[in-house]
Amino acid sequence: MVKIDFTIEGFSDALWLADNHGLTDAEIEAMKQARYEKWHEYITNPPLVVDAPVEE
Amino acid sequence: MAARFWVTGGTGNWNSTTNWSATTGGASGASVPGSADTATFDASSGSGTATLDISPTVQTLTMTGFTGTLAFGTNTLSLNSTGTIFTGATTMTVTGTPLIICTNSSATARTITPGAVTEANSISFRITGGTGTLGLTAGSYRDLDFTDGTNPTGYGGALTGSTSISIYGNLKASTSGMTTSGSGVFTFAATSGIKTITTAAVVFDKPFTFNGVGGTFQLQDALTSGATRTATLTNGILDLNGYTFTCGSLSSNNSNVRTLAFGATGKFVLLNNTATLFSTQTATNLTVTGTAPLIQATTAATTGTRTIIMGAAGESNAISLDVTAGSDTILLQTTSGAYKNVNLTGFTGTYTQTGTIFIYGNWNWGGVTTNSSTTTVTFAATSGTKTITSNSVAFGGNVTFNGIGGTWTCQDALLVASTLTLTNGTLKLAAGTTSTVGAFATSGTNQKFLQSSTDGTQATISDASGTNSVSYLTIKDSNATGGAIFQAFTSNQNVNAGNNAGWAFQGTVIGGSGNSPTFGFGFRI
Repeated sequence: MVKIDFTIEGFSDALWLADNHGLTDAEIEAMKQARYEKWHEYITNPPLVVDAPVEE
Repeated sequence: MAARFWVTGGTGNWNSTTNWSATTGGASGASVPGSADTATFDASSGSGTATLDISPTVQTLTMTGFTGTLAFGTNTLSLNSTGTIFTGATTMTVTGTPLIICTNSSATARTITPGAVTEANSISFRITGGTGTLGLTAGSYRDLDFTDGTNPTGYGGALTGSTSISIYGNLKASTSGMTTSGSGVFTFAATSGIKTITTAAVVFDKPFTFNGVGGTFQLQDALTSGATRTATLTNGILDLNGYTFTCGSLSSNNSNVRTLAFGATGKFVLLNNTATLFSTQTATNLTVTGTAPLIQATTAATTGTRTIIMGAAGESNAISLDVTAGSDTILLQTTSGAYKNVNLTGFTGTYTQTGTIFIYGNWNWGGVTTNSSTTTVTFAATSGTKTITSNSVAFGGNVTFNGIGGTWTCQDALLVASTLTLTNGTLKLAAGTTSTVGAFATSGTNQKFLQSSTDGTQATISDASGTNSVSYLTIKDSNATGGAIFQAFTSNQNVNAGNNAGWAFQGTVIGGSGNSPTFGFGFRI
């Protein structure tokens, strides 16, 4: 597994890729940006919390 | 499918027909359970040791009532079925490196029921595939690995459950689209070593608790939990390792020995919009490490109050607060709360505060529209230059500068509704602006300094009425005005360092008491 750390706009995360991922640098950069945008959307418009029924 | 029961009373190998029966407590000699069979250890299985001399695959494994030992060594045990695939027992012991691999790749639901075993007897589970729901029943787990063990892909279903579980090892999510939900708490409880948490961009919509004396819980990437979920540090070290931890709120309100380690760029992003966002009210034995420890409140709340309860801490353990959005109310609560920087840029609501707070870094009022606080803010940094940005917002209570070696440079006019007291350090008012105070005072016998942010250019300090008498103060580039009397008699160890106006440096207090002293003479320069 390959780990790629990144920080965008103060958001620090890492990508996990297979050893033979075959992605280009541009594709990896796009993945980083997509990850950041997904997180930013999450904190900007947090979804409602939905609790599952209690299980035992 | 055949059912197989472990029947040996003594020590025996898994891969031996002498240890297996077709019925519980029955005669041995049945075939060793294989991939189409179930394996059961129960109260009739004796209290001996069952040794995994191979890495077998069975459909399910049940340990209910077993009082013996399952010795994994370095072998693993794979379960290929669905339904309740594993049932543990608190009466049994495990040794070696216990790992159960759940290999079913269908969309059918599975359940793991380990029981509330001890840390030493906990078992690791790897779920390598499948898209059905996975129920993690209340109990104890060692590692929870949702990858195939080699690649980041693996389990892709919904991890459900409102029961709480303890995790004594690592947590590793897959990149195959797994989801989580439920109010059941994930409690990381290891008492030694570094345990890692890898979310692979999966939102873990669950509360997290870190409660392991001697344990370190270290993020391997960003951790995002539900927007109203609480993360709690009770014992051990929570190491953000430089990553972003997003949750509803964060609490570490106790006296246990514990550490919040932020790393180089780590921070908490707190999303609750009408609750206590952060609490270290009792910060005893809490250590904070990292380059720039930071909590951020980012929700654009329009009503309600977001409360931050920062406990008392020294300069080295102070955490910065950013409020980047919202037009609600931000409440800094408790007495002697210690902050590094407070930055309200982006926030356009009401600020309030209960009890004195200590600021060891910068202050920026941002877009605060109303400050309803009348309590004290003490700037206490002991090194470096800190900045204060007012944006026309006044501190509602007293403001004290008390840090030997500290320097505070105002970026614009400083507004203090009550008394500004300089006890230690250097205060540089913004050159070319008029800072307004309710009163100006000094305290203590250490020499302190009142200056302008630009050497050679005056900064004005204005007070409307009364007498401001200071001591042990070196004044430079200061224009005192507004109607009040500003006395800095050299006989009181004040120093006129030049380019001042409005200050009376020549004079001696010769009598008087209370608020009505009598002065021998005094004149303004």
